[in-house]
Amino acid sequence: MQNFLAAKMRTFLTIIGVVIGIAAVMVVMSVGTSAQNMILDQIRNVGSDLVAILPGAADDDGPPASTYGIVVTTMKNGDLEALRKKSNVPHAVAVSGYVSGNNVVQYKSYDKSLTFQGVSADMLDVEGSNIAFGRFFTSAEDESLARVVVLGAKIAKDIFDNEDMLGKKIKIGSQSFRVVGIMEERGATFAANYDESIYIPLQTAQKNILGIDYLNFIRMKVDDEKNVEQTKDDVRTVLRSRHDIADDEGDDFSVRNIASALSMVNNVTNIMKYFLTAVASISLIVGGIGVMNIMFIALSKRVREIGLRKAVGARRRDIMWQFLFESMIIALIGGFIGFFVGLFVIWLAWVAAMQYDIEWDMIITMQMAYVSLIITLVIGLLFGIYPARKASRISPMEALRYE
Amino acid sequence: MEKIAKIISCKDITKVFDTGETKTHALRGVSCDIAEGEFVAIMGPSGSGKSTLMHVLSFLDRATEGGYFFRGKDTKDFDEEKLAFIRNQEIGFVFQSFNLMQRVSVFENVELPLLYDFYTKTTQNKEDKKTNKDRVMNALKSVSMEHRLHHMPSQLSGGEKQRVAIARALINNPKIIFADEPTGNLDSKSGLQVMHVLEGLNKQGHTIILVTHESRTAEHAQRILRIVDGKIVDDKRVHNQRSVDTDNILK
Ligand SMILES: Nc1ncnc2c1ncn2[C@@H]1O[C@H](COP(=O)(O)OP(=O)(O)OP(=O)(O)O)[C@@H](O)[C@H]1O
Ligand SMILES: [Mg+2]
Repeated sequence: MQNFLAAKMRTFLTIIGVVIGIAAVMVVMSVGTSAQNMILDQIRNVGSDLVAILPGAADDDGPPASTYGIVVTTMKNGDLEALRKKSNVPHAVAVSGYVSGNNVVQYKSYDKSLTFQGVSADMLDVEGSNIAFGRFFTSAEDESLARVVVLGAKIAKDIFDNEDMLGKKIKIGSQSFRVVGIMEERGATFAANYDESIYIPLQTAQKNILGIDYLNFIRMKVDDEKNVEQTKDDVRTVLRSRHDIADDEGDDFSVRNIASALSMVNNVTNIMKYFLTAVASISLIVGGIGVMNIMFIALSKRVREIGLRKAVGARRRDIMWQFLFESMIIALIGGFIGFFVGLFVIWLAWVAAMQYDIEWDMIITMQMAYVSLIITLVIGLLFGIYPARKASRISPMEALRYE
Repeated sequence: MEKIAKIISCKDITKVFDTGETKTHALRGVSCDIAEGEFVAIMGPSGSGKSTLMHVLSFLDRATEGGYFFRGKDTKDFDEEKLAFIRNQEIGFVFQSFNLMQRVSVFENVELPLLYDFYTKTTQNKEDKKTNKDRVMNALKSVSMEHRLHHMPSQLSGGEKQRVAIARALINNPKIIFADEPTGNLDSKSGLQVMHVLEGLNKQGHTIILVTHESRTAEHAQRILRIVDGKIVDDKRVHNQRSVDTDNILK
């Protein structure tokens, strides 16, 4: 035992690969699953009966360019109107256009640059949100470019503190908006923080503030989940005819539903998993080489001892097991530290999620301990076997002559 | 002379060390017989091949050519397992430089061969620890070192280290004890104590093969082999076998 305790500092530095590798394995097993659970949860929360229409063509798996913040201006209000028609898309029960922008929001001493959203009156139905106080704005208000605003629960509290806020006027940019409603608290998802949203009528946002005539995207609620595919086809037909597109090769929009979003998100988390797995594998190999290195140093320091052991009757396999035992112990020390580093990182991820109000379950299972233990032992064995074999084949006479 | 079983018998043993460019002929045809219970000294100038011969005879190394019969059996066919068995059970080796493990106590040093004793039934049962302890104690008693049980090797004098090494060599009660210049690193008094221990072991029936430079030390043996340039040049009986005056060395 003293053999490697004596060199524990150097040992620690060389096994850091094992530490990182095992920590990465733990993170893959926990955070990867947590992230996927969270995303699935949120998608379920938003609803599986939603269809999103984004401007710009989509790749097979990836999101369309518009999701990366590239502005595509091909989707207009006329498209929104066409999709609303029952004769065009019979299964749509609510359809909303979306635009967003940044502007300074002022009320008394409150003065901050915030993101606001311009949405249709249907947004409430599309997203399944609820009003806590007051009301949402109407289609008529949208048509007439009314300057009314509905606030998320948290932002309302930030601006007005405990004041009575309905009917009060806040400034967005240079224009005054009357507060007509406050949303119910809903929490945050990876895509949106509902409680910090500022909603104004779509056309007011387009014409009065942003000066644009296009939409960022459209969301549509379908009457039943089983009609989602039919609805997607209907949407494509409508938009192709409006945009004079002959076949799907030329689409300048993309239609998605939760299932396609889900597989896309899954792709992203899987890429993260593969990346971490690669990091883990490389670290483990580096760590294994570290273990091998330590064992070669141990071997060179103990040639005489090995010679002596053989001279008093040690067989090859006895020396071999002595070395393998040590290399496994060294790997285990690394794995043990890595296990706790991994737990720490998992905990950090949870703390970070809490900070952002994201629902996140911290997943820690016994399986992680077993998997870490097995990987560690395999590393110890695999990388210990070569030095151990070398040690076992030392001739006693040569070893005892060794200075 | 009565017929005594030959424990060692070798014919024309040669040993060539081939280090790439140079070939060293350390042994150039050594033949000798050693009977059970004999006390043989090997003498010769430095580099003459004494240690090489000891290594071959004690199975720490193999001869390049020639026949080596150990207790009547040709050693050519001995495999790794058999060699380990012989090193553990039949042979004890005492080195000039002691070869004690510095990091562990006297007890653990002496116990070492027991860790590789897969052959004696007593070490397989639950009483392992206790019987091991008894055996270590007995071995240490026979070299008068039982009072140093828990010392570390670095806390011992050279003579004490060598006696511990002898205790280790005899813990499995081997037939033969090889000692390669066991007194080489010791002052004359410590050297005499070591020789006294070896004499005692020989009287108990152990075969002793001793390499030494000093004629006075060699004369403790019954027989002296002289080796020069890899060949035995002289093989004679000692007429006035020396014996350690115990009153003198133990004060
Ligand atoms: N492992 C080895 N590789 C190469 N040459 C060796 C090896 N062992 C011994 N020799 C050579 O073989 C010859 C005999 O060596 P050996 O150690 O047997 O001599 P010795 O009689 O024991 O000498 P000393 O009295 O100095 O111990 C020497 O020339 C030595 O250099
Ligand atoms: Mg020598």
